[in-house]
Amino acid sequence: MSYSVEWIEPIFDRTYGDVQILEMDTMNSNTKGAYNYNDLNRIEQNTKYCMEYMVDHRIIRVPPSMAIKMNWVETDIPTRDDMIRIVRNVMILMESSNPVIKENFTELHEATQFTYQVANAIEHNLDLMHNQPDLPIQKWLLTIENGIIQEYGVSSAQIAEDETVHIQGVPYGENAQYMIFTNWSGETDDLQYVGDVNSQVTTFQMVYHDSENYEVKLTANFKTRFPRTLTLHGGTIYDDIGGTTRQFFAGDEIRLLADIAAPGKVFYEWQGTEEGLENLTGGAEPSTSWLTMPDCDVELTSFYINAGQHSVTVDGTIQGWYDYGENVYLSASSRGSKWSFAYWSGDTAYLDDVTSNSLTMPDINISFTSHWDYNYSYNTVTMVQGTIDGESIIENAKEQSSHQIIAPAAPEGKVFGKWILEGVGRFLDSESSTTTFYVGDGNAVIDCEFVDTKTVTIENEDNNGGTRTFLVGVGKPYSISTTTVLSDYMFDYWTKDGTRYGSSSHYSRITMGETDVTYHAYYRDRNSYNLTVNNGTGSGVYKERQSVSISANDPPEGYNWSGWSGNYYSITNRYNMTTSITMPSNDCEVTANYSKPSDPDPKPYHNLIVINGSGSGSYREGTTVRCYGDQAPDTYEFAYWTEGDDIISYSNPMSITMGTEDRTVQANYKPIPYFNVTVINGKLADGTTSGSFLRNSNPQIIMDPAPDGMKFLQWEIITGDDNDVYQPLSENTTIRNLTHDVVVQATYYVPNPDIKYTLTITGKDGEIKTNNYPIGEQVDIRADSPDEGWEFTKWTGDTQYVNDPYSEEAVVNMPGKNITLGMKYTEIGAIPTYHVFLEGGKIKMPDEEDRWEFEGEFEEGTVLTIKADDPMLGWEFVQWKKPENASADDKSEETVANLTEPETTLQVRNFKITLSVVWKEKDKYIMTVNDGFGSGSYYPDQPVQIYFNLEDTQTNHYKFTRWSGDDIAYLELMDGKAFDVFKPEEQAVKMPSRNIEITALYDVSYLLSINSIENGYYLEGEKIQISAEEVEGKTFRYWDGDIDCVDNRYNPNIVVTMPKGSVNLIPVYSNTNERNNIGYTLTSLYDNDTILQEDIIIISGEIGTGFMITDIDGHIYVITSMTESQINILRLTSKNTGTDIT
Amino acid sequence: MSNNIGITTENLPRVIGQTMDFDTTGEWNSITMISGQLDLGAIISDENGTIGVCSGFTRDENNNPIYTIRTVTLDTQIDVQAILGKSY
Repeated sequence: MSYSVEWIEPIFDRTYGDVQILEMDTMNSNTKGAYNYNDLNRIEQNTKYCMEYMVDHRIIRVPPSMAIKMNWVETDIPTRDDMIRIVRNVMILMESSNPVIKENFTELHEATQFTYQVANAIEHNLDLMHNQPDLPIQKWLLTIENGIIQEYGVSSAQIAEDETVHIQGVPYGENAQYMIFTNWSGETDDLQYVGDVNSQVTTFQMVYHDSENYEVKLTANFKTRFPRTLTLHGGTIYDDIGGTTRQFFAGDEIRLLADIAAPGKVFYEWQGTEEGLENLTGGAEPSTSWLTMPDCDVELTSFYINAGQHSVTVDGTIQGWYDYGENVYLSASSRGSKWSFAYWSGDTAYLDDVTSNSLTMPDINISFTSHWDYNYSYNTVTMVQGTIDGESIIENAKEQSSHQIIAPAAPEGKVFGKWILEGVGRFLDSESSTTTFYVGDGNAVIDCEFVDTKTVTIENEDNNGGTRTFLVGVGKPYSISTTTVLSDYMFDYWTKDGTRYGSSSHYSRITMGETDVTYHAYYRDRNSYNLTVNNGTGSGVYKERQSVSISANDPPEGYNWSGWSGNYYSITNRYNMTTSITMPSNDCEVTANYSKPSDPDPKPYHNLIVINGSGSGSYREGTTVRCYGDQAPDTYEFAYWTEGDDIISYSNPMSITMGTEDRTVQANYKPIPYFNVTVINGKLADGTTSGSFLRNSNPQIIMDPAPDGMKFLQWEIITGDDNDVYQPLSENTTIRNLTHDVVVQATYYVPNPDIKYTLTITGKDGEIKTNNYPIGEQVDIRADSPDEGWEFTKWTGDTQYVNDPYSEEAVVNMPGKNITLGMKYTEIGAIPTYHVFLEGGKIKMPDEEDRWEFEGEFEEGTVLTIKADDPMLGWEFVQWKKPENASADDKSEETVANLTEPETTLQVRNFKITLSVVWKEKDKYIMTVNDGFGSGSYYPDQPVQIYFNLEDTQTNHYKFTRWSGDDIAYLELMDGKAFDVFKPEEQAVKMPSRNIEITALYDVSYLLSINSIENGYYLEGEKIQISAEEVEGKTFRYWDGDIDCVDNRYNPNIVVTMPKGSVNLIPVYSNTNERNNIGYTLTSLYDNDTILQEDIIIISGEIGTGFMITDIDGHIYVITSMTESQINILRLTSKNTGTDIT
Repeated sequence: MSNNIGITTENLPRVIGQTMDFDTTGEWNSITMISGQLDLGAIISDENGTIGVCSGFTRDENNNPIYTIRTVTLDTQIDVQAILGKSY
């Protein structure tokens, strides 16, 4: 530390002599005996220096308050108080000085007179103080609550100034295992010397404190957290560990990530444990969210819905489109006061009960049919005459109930005429005296009237010559009838009151007149007539109305049976060669007719050759032949038909008419162009963000997980057409029918209703309406009513957020930006255009060579060529069909010339035409490739890569020979060439429409090893001669290992017959140096202690100590020692001596 | 190194110095080595206490090994009992 003043060397050796010198020369102020302003300044300055020194060295804790004057000048006259102050300053410092120097101080007292002794004492003491030693090291108490001082092992200790210790927080109590350190707390001045207040183990440095009693108190803080289980369904824990079920502690911050929705779906919300849902950042709606783990187990499930709004149809009419979860009120049209709603049928699973009129909207289209109860009235029926149910009056008769009414007996000379009704109701038969009355919606009074009777007389009825009479009321109906044919007579005619009436044998509902009437039936003889059957049998003479069987002759050569003709009365079946006729009342002629074949002179045949297609054959001139081009090779599509160098058609299939000579036509193909798809905030099916795809393909797009706290809004087209995304509201969907480059972006939003954007709609007359909506809000919009003579055409502007831009009533999916919409109207009478939209097919743009679009606006009457997209592999076209959600009266299908042809025409009519293609998956067939690659299930014509796939192993070598199997006959390569049965390498065959099984034939050779050393690969049954190696010092004994395949395991030279598998043979040897040391002698060594070396016959080993010797007596000896001249032996066997036989 | 010692279920010759051949088609399989290996000098004992030593190793025309066992000592008690058991 530097001080504010410098130390000045003091003077404290003044003597009385110095004073005397001064006294002798009082003007000499430079003498030591004089104390002038310089001396005062020095003392004052040194005093200040000493004070700063002592403060610096912490000998003084608190700098004392001192008045120090360091600007003494020559003219200044020190006062008494100055003197006292100077001395007192020094004494204060002396008092505070290190005790070790105090004993050296010169005694100093306050004095008003500055003697040389006082001056010496001041400066001497200052000299001692200006570099006095430091005080001993000072310590202060450090106390750790909930922890220890590691160096001392206790929680409280005296820590020296500048000493640094490690402090450690220690969990405490019964829940210590669940306690987590949070931070250190204490006085702010102390915490600044804690190394890291957030570390459980850290450092603390004790600093100087003014007070000796200062105490530092630090507290380790913990929070107690019990482990809780988090289980996710349809989501993952989004951290480095991941997983769906983990343990956490209450308060942990956990990032959750919902799984990507299945195609067509969109994440809706998290569902599950309530405490978990309450602790999700931003609520349950963000698909990527942070969960603050509550103090309980949590199980959450990501819940998905079908994207977009869905319709509610009531009694066949779409009532509206609704968001998932929206409250919907079902409203059926009233049928008037006579009907009361009874119940709903249809998707009643979404209703609390079948009579409920409200529901919570599901994520599918639903429909209901209302059922009503008729409100019957109860009425009174009063009979003026006659009875009803036996009574003259009935009350509370239910509407529509039936009751028998009976008229009273008719007065003399009269009969019942009819019932007369006043009020409501109806009669079953108002002219019947006993009938049924149906009660109406009100009371009824019933009366009846009677009429006078008149007589009807029938004469000669059935030619019986008699007379029959009956009475009929005036104005009432009656009938007359007689038999037409009697055995020899025929009815001829009626007369009425003598006048010819008619020739019909029966008349009904003749109204009775005011007078009696007489009818007479006249008969005549029944005549016979000739029947002539031409070209058949049955001719003869027959009576009128007689039934006659007739048969036709067989048709003449070159003719076919045609049918009967003639003037018969009737015929049973004119097209049967044998039938029957009824004779007329005249001669009859019937003819069996025959006809010639229509084309007795067929035209000649000519050959049609269809290259790259079907339809080849021989056809007669003028025959129309349908030619189908083969399926285009991969990445190609049909282009046109040619005949010679001429392009004859762009349609496939096409129809051609055979001329007078052979024809050869060829289907030609062209490459399908590729288009680029780029996905922002998402990826393609292969995980990349961009790729090239064939035209008309439908690449899948999948959104990236939503950012924290957000959820998916919709796909937005950056480059392309508004309709390019199949389901813009689904997280996982496809680009529709790719016909150009597309850049598409997944957009997200924070599900916060407070964040709103503006929807601006410009009306028909320019009126601008603006409203603010939260992102994701489904806003119903309705176009202004068109002026007279005009009609709404479509919405304009940011229509990619509109579910149906061509509908007057549509829904806007509010994005995270301001959008504008306008309305377009078309004057009626102007040449209108109509929207044609194909899903799964394309429209050939009129007057353009080769431009196909999936939608367009066309004038009524325009005939368009439409073509279904090339089917996906394994699928085939079935038909054109209107969308499933189309109304019953949608006539889109009526505009198509042939609904079952993939390429056909469509005539635009005065309505919007929407058609989709119905596809059907083809049957699959099984390819079985034994010992080869290619087995599996495939669609017909699908390319299948086939190759021999047995790979050599260390023990087996495979050599392909050929493919076998009867089904080879059905294999053909994709390029039309024949399948090469001798080719083991990859061949692409076209899957036939049948199951196929082929087998690879091959030779396999196996490894022969000798002592695990590779010898070679040999076929099964192959014989190989091998020999055991001769090894010095060893004798071959036998073969070990896979010895089943050797002829003699003890023979060092063997023949191996190769089995089906690898072989390892191991020659086993005995070591010469491991033989026993043993020999024998041909003499008896009994009682000998030595043996001559030449007498030893060695069997094996070497003669030496321990060498065993046997003699001719069968005794065994061992050499115990040997010298150059003598071999000493010891007999090991004892001699058996016999004993007495008892 | 352990001694080459084995036993045989065949009866070795009961005369000191006599030999008996063991080949792979017959008697050779009767030898079970207790330690070591069957080779020249190997000591072979039979169930009568007769002890022989492998004194020769040759091969036949098929290269099959033939081991020759030479009787070097025997237990005479069984001979005495056999003699006593005879009837005269």
